[in-house]
Amino acid sequence: MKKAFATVEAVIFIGIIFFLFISSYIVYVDKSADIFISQRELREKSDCQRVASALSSIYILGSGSAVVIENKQEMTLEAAQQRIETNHTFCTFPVGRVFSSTLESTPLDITENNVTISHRGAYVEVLQ
Amino acid sequence: MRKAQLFSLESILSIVLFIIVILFLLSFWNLYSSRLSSQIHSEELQLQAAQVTDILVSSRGYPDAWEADPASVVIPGLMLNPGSLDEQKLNQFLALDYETLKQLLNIERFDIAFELRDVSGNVLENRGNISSTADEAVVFQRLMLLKNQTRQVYVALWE
Repeated sequence: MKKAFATVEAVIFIGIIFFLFISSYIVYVDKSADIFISQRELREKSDCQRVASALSSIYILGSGSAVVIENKQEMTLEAAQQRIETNHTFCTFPVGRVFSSTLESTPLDITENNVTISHRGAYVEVLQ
Repeated sequence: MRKAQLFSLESILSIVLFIIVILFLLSFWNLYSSRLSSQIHSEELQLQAAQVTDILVSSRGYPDAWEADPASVVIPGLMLNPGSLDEQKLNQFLALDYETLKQLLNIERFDIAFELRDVSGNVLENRGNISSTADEAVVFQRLMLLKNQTRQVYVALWE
């Protein structure tokens, strides 16, 4: 009789322990996913802001200035909106005279490659 | 006897302690997550403020003589020569509509205040006031010459 009680309680006890560890594991998996997403967004944001800063700096430096940036993210430059979009985040820049190698109104897809930003007379040009 | 061994006080205490530790770690996690988000936000605000300040005090704007036709302005730069402000550009800049100004600088997500002070810190001109309810405002200061007199230019950005 006592043995039977002990077995039921043992099952309950092990169940509680199992539940606690499963809960902890679910929390761990959830937080790991959060870290992964945060890291990815931070990386994208950082690269996005690097290009945005370069656009502003080249504009301020004036005609003839140029810089080549090693880009490690796929992004889209929307010159008309003064905005750069990456897969999961975006950044903006205050310079309203940016042209891509296509047209101001056409977004320029920037791949993982070198990007050349230069000041040509009245506008800043982005080439890849 | 066996019952006491399985559901002992120690085992219940250990489970409670385990739950407390997990809850403690989770609350720390949430605290640091919110700090990280606010730091990212703060860095973005700083970068925007730095870029806007540089555009204003270190470029002539576009078109070069936009002050002659403020309606045509694309970039409202205020520089006359490196280190000097153009008084006409400054006056036209101060007269710009607040929403238009934010659009031109592409900072619709934020609010902006611009102040021109003398060397003693007295406000000579201003455009917008820093909100007292803003959680965080980033303020950049630059020293510039205006009609051969040293002036402090303050640009503040907040959300």
